Amino acid sequence: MQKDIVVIKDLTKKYGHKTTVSQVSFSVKKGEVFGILGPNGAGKTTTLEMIETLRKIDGGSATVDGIDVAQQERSIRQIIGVQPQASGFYDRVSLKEQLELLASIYGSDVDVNKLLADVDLTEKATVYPEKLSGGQRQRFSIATALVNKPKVLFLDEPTTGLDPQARRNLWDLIQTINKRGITIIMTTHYMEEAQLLCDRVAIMDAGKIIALDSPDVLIKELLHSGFKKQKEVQQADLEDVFINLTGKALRD
Amino acid sequence: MKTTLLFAKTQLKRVFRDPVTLIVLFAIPMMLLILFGAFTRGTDNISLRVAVINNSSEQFSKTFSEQLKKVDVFKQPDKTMTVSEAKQAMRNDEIDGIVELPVNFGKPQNGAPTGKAIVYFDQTDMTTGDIVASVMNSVVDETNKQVTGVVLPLSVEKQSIAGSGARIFDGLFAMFTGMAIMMVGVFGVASVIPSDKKTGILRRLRVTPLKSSQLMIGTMLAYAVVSIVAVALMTLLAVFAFGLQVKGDWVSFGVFTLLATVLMLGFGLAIGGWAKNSTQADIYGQIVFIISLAFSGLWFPRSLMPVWLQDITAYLPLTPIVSGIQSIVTEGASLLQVGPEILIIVVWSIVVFAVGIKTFQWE
Repeated sequence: MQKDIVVIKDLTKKYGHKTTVSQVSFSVKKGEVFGILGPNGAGKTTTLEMIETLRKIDGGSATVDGIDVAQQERSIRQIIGVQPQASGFYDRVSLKEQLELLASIYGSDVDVNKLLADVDLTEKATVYPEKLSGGQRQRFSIATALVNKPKVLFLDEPTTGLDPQARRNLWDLIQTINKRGITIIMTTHYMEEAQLLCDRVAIMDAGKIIALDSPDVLIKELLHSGFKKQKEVQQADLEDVFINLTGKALRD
Repeated sequence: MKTTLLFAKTQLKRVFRDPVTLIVLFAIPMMLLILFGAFTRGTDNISLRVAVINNSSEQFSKTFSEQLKKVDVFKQPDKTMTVSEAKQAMRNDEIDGIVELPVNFGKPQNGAPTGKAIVYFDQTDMTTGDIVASVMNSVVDETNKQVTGVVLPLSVEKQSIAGSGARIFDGLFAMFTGMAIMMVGVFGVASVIPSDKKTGILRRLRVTPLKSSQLMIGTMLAYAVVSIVAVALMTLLAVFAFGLQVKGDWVSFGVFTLLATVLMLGFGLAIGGWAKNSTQADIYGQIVFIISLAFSGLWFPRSLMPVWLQDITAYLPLTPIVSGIQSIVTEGASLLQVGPEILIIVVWSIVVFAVGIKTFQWE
């Protein structure tokens, strides 16, 4: 098995008396897709943002590729790629110009045309981001996170608000990126998304990790405990109907 | 360095691709200069609306009043009025003064015409009264000379010369150019940083190795170019459309306006870097802007303020900028001669940049 690339120990975040992330520990293996699941306010985004150097770590430690996050922020920023929940771009600056600026910031020699082609936005190279659809924005956001050829890519709710076609398209993209050897840590509200994409998931609630394993193992454990679904499982669901009727082609 | 320059270039593209920013930063100061420049055109030649009322039936009086019509300074109303009508017209501010030639004015005595012309003027407007009286005096002197044939041994000859040529427009140019520089800072820089916080781009850049110094210097460089373009446009407009003559050398003008730019960009950075959102930045930007307009002489001349207020307002950031530009443009002052202004600008710059760097927030 691969070695751990991200190691989190007792990570804690406090706001006044309120502890939003409480002694969270987990490790992510190189090449893995690791999911963090949980209801709103569980502390998923805060946990990610501490590892991403966006928030001060109040307790515990985090290392990425052996580098301590709290000690060496700039070195961490050089090797991670981040797609924030609210993707931010410069208005009135074309996609290509944005990528060129980011490449210069990282000192990266990345081919921005190739990068745009990878996320299927070649024709939008000279367009301003305010003209993009939701799915295109998310794909572009991922492109900006790949400029520095990161070792670890962080995706915060990448498919929230997208239509089923755009979601499936983004899942394909995430799997393609992962196949290139990039470790991915993502949060999501969609369980089918986690089940499809993630090698392992951590389930958080009220600032704590309450379960951590592969989706298959977690499901088996539940079944072993005698759990039964109330309704007979159908061989298709409404989303299958929707996709069957409207097709998989992207609409943006 | 390369990244900072590319960052500046990117910011500059954004400014020039945004019509609203272009209107606010370039069109507004230029339009004010055009409007006020047109309003004040011609006011450098004094002309007063003076009613000449001839109540005398003497032939001399008739000739005399005809002569007064030839005086350039007096612009006489078209209709003839009685003294009481004219006084009413003066109260209504329709005319500036009255010259009455009373009954029997010019009646010959010992072969020469005699009489006293009466000048009425608004008691609150001594200047106009003085001008009318002095013009009348010189007309009367000239007439006395012709009638008596006696040349008085002493006389004063008035000759106007083109002095420093300081016109009202020169002051307007300094004011609106100072205002244009200020607007780039307190409206340009101060509003773009909070709006970038809102879209999340600053947050996005924060997870890259971009240093806050690169961000700040890049932004400053871009808006310094914007400010230079604004000053250049204002100057071209003033020189070619209003015949502004720049007495000082262009290097002094350039260096001085660049120093002014640095100060105003610092204000923008301090306000925008600290503000959490655009609303907050707009409010503080407006406060700085309005105080500056009110107390640095753009709304009414500082020379009309009480001395203690003049002493205080001399140290406001916009005051030395306006007075420095005016000194260089109209008096041909060198950088050394505007040293006191430069000193105030430099001290302010140090203060605003120290505050700006200290209070800068990425989100």
